[in-house]
Amino acid sequence: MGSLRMTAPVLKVIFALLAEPDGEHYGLELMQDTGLPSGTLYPILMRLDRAGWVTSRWEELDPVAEGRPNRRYYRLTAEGVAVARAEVDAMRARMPTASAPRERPA
Amino acid sequence: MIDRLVRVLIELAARRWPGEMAREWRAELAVMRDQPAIRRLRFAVSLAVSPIEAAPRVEAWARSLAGAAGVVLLAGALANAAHVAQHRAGPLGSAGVWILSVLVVGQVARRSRASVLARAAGVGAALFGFLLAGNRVAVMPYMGWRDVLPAVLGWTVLTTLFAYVISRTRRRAVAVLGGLLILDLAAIAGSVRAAGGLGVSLSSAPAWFPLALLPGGTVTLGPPQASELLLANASAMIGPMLLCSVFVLTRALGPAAAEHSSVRTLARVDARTLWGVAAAIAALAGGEVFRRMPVGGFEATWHRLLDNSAVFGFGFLADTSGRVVTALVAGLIATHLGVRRRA
Repeated sequence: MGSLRMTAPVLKVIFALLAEPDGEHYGLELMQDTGLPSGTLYPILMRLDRAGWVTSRWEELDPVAEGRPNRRYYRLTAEGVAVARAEVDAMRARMPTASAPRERPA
Repeated sequence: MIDRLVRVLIELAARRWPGEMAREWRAELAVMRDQPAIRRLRFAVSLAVSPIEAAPRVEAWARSLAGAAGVVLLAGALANAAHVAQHRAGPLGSAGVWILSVLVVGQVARRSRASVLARAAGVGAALFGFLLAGNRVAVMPYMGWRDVLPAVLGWTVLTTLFAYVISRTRRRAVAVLGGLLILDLAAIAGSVRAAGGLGVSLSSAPAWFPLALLPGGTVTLGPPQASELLLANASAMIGPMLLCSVFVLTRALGPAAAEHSSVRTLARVDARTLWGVAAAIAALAGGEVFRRMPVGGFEATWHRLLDNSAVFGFGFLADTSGRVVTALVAGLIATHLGVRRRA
């Protein structure tokens, strides 16, 4: 499992992936979830893939019937989920006041 | 019109990107066909102008080079400290500093994450620059590029290959014996021209490496002054080289330092910048103090490190550009360490 430099865009992608850790995500969806442009998102996905945090597969539909080419789906690996959660926890621990939700008074 | 432009931009982007990215983008663009054309154009333009991984790669190269330069500077400083100890505390003091130096460099190697081959090649390149720049004032003859190049080139090639073998076999005794043999060969390669000019017999060549680490006057190899000249030159090259061997082979014997989290917040980026600036200023100040130290201030040691009349390696600190480059290297290393310390 490779390491990644945790910049703000990388964290945004990780948050989006962790929102549904077992789910499959495609590029356009992640762009909408994170607000990142394509030129920022895809390099991050490539790095996550190389680091073993995510794996990808091609959709297996009939492009003629669907009227569009097959998409590529990304999903977090089991190790990727663990490491991503650890990174998010580490970040929250460093920024307690910024990330901890305020408790409502009883 | 816009869709044609989008296709061209995607084609251009696909040439720079690995794998099947263009196929993936075309699939997404197909889904976006009902959306405003400006979105498809924005999607394509962003990919066409994206730097992909160029910046991290440049940064990684800069970090590797700074790391290699830092290791060589450390090795040079420790080797010179051993020489100073020789003058101040005799052979036992010098031996103690050598042992301590080996332990320090070994510890530094264990914290490194660079690959074995990249490390050996990088250190070799830095070593060549260090020996040439540091000995620019040639007080002694036979210390030019024609002497340094065979020694460093031989060391780099052999150590790189040997480190690769050791990283597979992980045999400590073989690493030590092989490392010493390579150093012996490097000492011969770097001193053979001096031996020819000074009239020193090549039959004594295998002994040049061990003799270079011993106090001067231990043996006489040829005409008067020949031993001192040849062994002082060999010592200047072999001292830092020995510690560089320790660095490379220690990494080859063990696993790389554990991968670490490197989450960076804005505050941490500021902190690592402070680390780098502080280290650069400290290096500049240290170089200035070193340069201004009076001749009699530390007997025949500190000042003579600088003018190369006693031991070699740091002549570049006499020049402003040399001190600036040293400060830059120190700053880069401290910046990197600043990140890792907080990881």
